[in-house]
Amino acid sequence: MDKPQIIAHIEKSLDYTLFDTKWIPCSAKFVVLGSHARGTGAIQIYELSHGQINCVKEIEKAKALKCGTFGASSLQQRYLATGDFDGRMQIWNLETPELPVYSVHGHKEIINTIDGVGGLGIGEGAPEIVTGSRDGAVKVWDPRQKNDPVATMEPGEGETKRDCWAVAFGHAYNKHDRCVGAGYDNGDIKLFDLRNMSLRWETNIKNGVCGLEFDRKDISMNKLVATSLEAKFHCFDMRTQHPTKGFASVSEKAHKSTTVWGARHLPQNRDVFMTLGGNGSLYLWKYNYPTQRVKQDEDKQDMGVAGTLSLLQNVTLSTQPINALDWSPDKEGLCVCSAFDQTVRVLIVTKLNRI
Amino acid sequence: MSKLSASEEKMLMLQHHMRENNMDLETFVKDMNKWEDDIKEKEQKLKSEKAVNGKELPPVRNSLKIKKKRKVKTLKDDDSQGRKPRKRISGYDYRSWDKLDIDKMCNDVDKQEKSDSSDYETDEEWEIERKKQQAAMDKDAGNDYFKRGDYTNAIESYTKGMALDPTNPILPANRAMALLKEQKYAAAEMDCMTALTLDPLYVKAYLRLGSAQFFMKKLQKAKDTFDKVLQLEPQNKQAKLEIEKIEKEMKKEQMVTHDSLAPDVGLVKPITKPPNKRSKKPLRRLEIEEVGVEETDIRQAARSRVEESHSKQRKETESKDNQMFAKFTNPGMINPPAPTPQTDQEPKPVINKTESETKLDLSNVQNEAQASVSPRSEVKSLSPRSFSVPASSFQFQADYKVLKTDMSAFYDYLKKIDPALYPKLFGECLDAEILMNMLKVFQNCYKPAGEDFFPHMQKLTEVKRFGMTVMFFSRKEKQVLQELFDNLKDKGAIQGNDLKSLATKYGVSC
Repeated sequence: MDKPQIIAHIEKSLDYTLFDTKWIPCSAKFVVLGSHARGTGAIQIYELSHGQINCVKEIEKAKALKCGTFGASSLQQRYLATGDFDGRMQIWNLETPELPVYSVHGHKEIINTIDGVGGLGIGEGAPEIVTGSRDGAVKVWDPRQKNDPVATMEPGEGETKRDCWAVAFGHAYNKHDRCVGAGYDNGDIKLFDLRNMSLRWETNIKNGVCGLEFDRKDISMNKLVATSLEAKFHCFDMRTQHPTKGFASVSEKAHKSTTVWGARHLPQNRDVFMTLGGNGSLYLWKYNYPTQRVKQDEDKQDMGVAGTLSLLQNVTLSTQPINALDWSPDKEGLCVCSAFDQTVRVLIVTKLNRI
Repeated sequence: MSKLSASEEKMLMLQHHMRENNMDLETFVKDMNKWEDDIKEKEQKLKSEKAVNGKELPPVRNSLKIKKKRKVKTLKDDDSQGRKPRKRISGYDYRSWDKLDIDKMCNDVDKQEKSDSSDYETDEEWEIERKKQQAAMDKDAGNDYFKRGDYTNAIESYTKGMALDPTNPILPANRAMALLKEQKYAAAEMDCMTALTLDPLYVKAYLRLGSAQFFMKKLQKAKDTFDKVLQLEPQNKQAKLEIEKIEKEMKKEQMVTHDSLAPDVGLVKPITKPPNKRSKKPLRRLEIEEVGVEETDIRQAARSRVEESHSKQRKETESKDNQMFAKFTNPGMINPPAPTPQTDQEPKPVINKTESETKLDLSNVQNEAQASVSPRSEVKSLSPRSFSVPASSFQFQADYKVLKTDMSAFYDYLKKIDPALYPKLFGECLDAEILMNMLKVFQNCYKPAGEDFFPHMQKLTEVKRFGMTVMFFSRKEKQVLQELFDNLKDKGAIQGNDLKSLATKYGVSC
């Protein structure tokens, strides 16, 4: 009975809609992003202090904020990149948040999702931010280049524009290689190779893709978890790409036929991840590798072999969907999550080191 | 001791687990409180540290592919925003008119125009810079391919880079290296030449050129090339080793030549053939585009004549030159194509005989032979005599192109030119070939005619880049020079000091 326990350590009810929450790296603080009832954006910084959380800073911005990341900022600066309801991508210095250090009106509609790489010592190469929007475009930004994205992936003229719900960086294990995964409302998952500027792989998992995450950004692609509507999520083995069959995957049902909002890998153990449920539940999973990750098909082509998933623990915290969760990069087992019940929760997961 | 029932046991287990979980949680929270303090301290430290950005970031992705739009700065905007509108001075306000500084206003207007054009310039420069950077990236890609042994792709990358930045000597030099690996020696040689025109002091290019020439069996040329490397870098080990290798090879070749046939002193142009075929039958390759040498009997006669002349004194040759000089008609003979290695190293009894003389002799013989058979070439020489004194460098170049094959005509032509005009005529481009031809004219026409060519030679030194051209003279060419100076010295008409300083300028001892 060495199952990890998920305990809601601290709960705090807030007066706005929460969309995202992120730990500030190298600190006991986290930011919460959201939307006030009057349609303005909210950034709050909370500090953990002996069983309590105290709001240390509160910032209000003109447009509601949907998502944020520290991934492209250096550990020294820890600038927060955000995407808002108006299609703007902005980078904030949280010490002096009056004006953004970078701002670009990159999308015509809401930015649903954002991810960063190249900062925090995670991922080789240039700092880059990727945004996915309802306008169907996925754009990659370099904070050093004003106004223009360094790469854009969007449907061609005349093609129907799908709502992009999820983006994720991965494969950034050297200066040149880098991939962006993008998930769309129709269940498409596309993998763009930024080095060759080409589409590397695409598939459809039938249900809209709500969340995408590589188990690690800074290694040669290992695993990709894609969560979707209808309580399903898929875990792809990204090491071996078969020319026709693509990547091997295993799928699992969870969260009682509600949406799986996302998956978050434990920074200290890449084979453990948490899925976020539409019914307010959290499921903790472990991926078990098969004895052989690669086999050969009839034509002597390498193809991957998917492993299995085992459920470690689950807990229901709320009646409303949990839309965001972030593991503390500094303290194993500590995480923060936000839910549509306007509550932010600091969670403790014990025994993670004994899995 | 009563045995516990199953349910009781389960209860106990559950209790035990709950206790354990609570303990775990407690230790975790305690741990976390400690961690909170630690991390706060760490954060403080991080904040106090000054930003040290040791890691160099790669360039912004795709930035090199996006062309920068040219900024169109309208002057009007600047005027309306940046500057206060200048008040119009009334015609009666004499004091203001006195203060008005017209010069300053003019300067201002000038500056404005300048800054405007510089803006335009920077955009152009940016574009060039962008291309250069891209070329550098192509070079890196090529180097990567090269390291992996993928020479075809490496060559492709270098070619792309060369198209983007034709001024970079590294690209052709690297492509030459890849071509060498692909055993495309002639192409490699070409690339080295390109690299060297871009950077005449590029040692690596010389080394590769030498190797290419070596592989093509142009041994003498290869040796000259490596000699040049040693001139630039006297300590270059590779060049020394290569020269040794070439000398060995040359000896071997001589042996082979000896065994098979008496080597022809005629004019040989190597043809690219697999080395195994080449080395055994060196004389087969002597059939080259030479005017008048085709007939073997003429060649035979020439050779016997040459051999005869070998044993004679140089003065005899010179006097013969004098006689034959009038008969110079066949243009192809004076300036034969590059001699082959075999001819140089001929172990004949008379070694001090220079090659050019030998060749000259040969041409004489042939001229004689031809003249006796059919004096058809007489007609040709008439036209060059009508050339007038050139007024410009361009005119000289054009005339030279026509005259270079006909030495006597060139001689007549040169006679018309005042030596003082040389610096003007040659401008920037004193070609080694032109210089050499002129020196040959001095040697073969002025000298026998007893005319003084000292002022000519003196004026030549004043031409731009003269020193550079002389520096790259080969041994053979130097020998011609040496003879000219010996002749001058013998005559004794010129003061020793003058002669000596001139000789040093030509890089010859006197």
